[in-house]
Amino acid sequence: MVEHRLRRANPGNVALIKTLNLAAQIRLRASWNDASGQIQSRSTFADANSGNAFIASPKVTGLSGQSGVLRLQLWKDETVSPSGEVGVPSDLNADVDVWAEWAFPLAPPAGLPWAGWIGKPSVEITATPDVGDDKNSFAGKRAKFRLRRHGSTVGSLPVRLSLDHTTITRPVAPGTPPPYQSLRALYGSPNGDYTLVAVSGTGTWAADSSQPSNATLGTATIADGQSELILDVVPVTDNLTEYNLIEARILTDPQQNPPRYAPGITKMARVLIFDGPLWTLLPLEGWGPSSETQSLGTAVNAGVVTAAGTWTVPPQIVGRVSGASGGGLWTAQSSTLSTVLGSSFIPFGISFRQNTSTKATVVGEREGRAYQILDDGTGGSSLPTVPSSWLPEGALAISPNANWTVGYANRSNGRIPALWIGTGTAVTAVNLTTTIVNPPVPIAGDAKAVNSSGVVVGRCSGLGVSSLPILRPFRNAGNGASLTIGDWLPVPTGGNGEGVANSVATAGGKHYAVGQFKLPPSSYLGASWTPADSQTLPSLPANLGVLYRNGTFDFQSEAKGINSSLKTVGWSGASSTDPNRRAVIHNGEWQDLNDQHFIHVSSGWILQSAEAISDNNVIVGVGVLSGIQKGFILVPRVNGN
Amino acid sequence: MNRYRNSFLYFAALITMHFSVGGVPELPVLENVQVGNVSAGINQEPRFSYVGFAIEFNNPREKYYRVSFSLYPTNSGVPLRARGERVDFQHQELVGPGLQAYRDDGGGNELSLTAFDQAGLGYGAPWRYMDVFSNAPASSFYYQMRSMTEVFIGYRFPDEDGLHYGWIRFARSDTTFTNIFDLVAHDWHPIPGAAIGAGQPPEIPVATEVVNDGAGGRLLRVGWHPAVATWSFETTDSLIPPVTWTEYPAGGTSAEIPLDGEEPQRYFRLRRP
Repeated sequence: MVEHRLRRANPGNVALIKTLNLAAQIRLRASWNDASGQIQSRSTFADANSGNAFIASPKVTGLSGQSGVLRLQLWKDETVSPSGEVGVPSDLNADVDVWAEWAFPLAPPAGLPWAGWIGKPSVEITATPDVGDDKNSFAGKRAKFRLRRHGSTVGSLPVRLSLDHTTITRPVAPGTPPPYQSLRALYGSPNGDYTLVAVSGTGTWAADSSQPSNATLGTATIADGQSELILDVVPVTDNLTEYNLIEARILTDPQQNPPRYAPGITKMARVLIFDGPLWTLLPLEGWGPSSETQSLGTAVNAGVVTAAGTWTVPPQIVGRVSGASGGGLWTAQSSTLSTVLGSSFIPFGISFRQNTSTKATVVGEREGRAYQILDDGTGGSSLPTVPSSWLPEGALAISPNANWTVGYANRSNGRIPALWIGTGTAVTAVNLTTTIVNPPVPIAGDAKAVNSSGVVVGRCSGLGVSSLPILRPFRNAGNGASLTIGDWLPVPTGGNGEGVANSVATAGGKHYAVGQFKLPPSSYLGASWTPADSQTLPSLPANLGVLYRNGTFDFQSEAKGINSSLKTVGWSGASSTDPNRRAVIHNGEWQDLNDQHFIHVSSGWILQSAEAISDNNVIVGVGVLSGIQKGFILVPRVNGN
Repeated sequence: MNRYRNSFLYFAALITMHFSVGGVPELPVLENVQVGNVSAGINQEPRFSYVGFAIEFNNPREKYYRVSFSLYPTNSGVPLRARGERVDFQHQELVGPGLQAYRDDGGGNELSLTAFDQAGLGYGAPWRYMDVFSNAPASSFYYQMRSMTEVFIGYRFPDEDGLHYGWIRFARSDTTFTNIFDLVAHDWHPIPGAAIGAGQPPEIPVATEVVNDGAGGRLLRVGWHPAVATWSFETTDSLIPPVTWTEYPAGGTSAEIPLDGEEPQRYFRLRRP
């Protein structure tokens, strides 16, 4: 019956055991915890010494009608040592002395016969794994309670469980006073936090009530022939930020004469269910050892993903990578570099793929020329030079449908916005500024993005009536139209007119832009522009603010990307080169993508800037992984990841 | 032209303040406020506006504002860069032709002097002030102002008769980052193309010559630039306070002063109306 043998608690203390003077008096004590947790110690021993063997036959009395944990302890009684050592005889040193624990089965109450009591098992509970993901319904990601009975597996065995929690609260918002929001785990659905489901074939689970409660009772029945019942902890998927500790405890069998089981040594187990992240974080690995490779994700397309999370056409990411190649392409399925795009090519944009048989076009800069190449690394060619301008030129973005590419050329005052119409060999280059009539100041700027409707956004001076060469955010009239003097975008209140529109997206037939504006003295803040009523082009500015952390808003922010769901990403921090800046997403206010709500917090990562977001919410950007600049992909989580 | 006896002729252009002062607001600053305007030119158009912005951030936790006080050019006022990388002018440093217009990296030319964040729960709770603008680039004008208590800004503006130059003085009691600069003085030169010393009144060139009055006496004929023809020509017999100035008959750009009277000395000035 006794499966737990006397053992050393700490194998590292072998030397101390070996110095035990066998001439010394050895004491053996049996103590036990009764059902109420009281420590009892009543024992008598019959012992026999034979050579080096010491055999003890303990008889523990007074356990009738009880079950619990019996502990046997063996130690040297130094008060009676022949060497006269001074010690504390009644203390067991768990590091030195030996002990064993045994979950003892029932004994009948005094006066009752043993018949019917013999062979009733002790039951223990553990939790493996003991952490569950609230955002992942994949069974393999669930925490599990495991009830194990010792001894015979004949017949099913109902075991009473109580489900409780530790009280965890938090302020409703950082810095706000009580009352706090309770994060306690409540059993039941739909308003609770989790339910238990028995793994098929191992048994059943029945809660006394399915209504959410602070303390829930239920019966877990270990199936006939099974020694173990596995209970899946199934979190109720919701949008709450949670961190819940569930405590399952084996209760004594309410059937007392005789009970069908006894709670064993381990009669309580805890499970943590937490608010699983929304994205899976993958590094953009480069060419060579990952620990040495720097990379930077700059753009991503949407690909096509099924509802079950399978990529039909995986989103593709382009960016920079150090080592053997300058430009690289990855897919959202893997960190591994998929395609090397050229040693002197710096990619900035990628079009969409309509299906698996089409290729995306990647655009960027190569040796001072705007350049395009297909996603498999073939068909690379420089785009035609922009009329009435000179090199260097560069392509900064391409529309999802690949009809439009935008970027910059150069004139005497520096960069000017440029547009390339078409792809492949039939491309026409356009100076977007030749239609600005009588500009009040010299023209300079660049085009940052374009959507499939040919709506171009960027920044440019010479727009409006100001006598200052202010670089203002702009949008054209769509369909690849060249700029006019009135195409500038107003900035939010407090701004001086400076700004840039970095990205443009289409939703419901309307076009939306995001970027940055200057709030004097020198604070640049994220901005968005939405269409006015009955309009389709972006015009109404909004201040997106900055990230709030540690009681203070950051100094600056920038919106870098927007998708067709109008989700906006960017960075927030002291500056665009601040090593402590954070990749952020805007949900009414900027939120830190480093938060465990969004990603599994992984040591060594700081996500510094989110550069783009696809229509299916794949985010790419750059951060630092163990001190190395590293591009990242955030893939929306589905079952199993 | 005979210039002499200037020792008893005192010509000066009286500084006249042409800005409306609303005063620097008390903290916290919870709304946009116009502290003052700087007007200059024939029609006294406002050339600069000194404005405080209190931009409220979306914050469900507490009230939170980003506050900044900046000088914004209006009506063709153009702030000037003093020398090299320096934007502000030293006291008495000349503001005049040959100086470059000030522009920041993005092409803007507003000049920000004070900025900070403020936050509070309201209901009488104390406000917190945060020096987030310590992150401003060290090369920025604002960053240079952080360690200063007095600033002279030089500027120019076009008027009907040409380009004029002027200065604006800002001051505060100490360099605490929440201590808002006040607009305390400004002046501009009424003669187009003429330089003016920062913090100084414009120097008005005066031509003098002694002529016969046709009756055996002598006259000191005083003449000045037509640009100040509307100014008042005033006189007093003593500069010992209290000084009483009275208008002296003048003909637009000149006046004649008898020299052979009994008075040992007399003082004259041109005063901007």
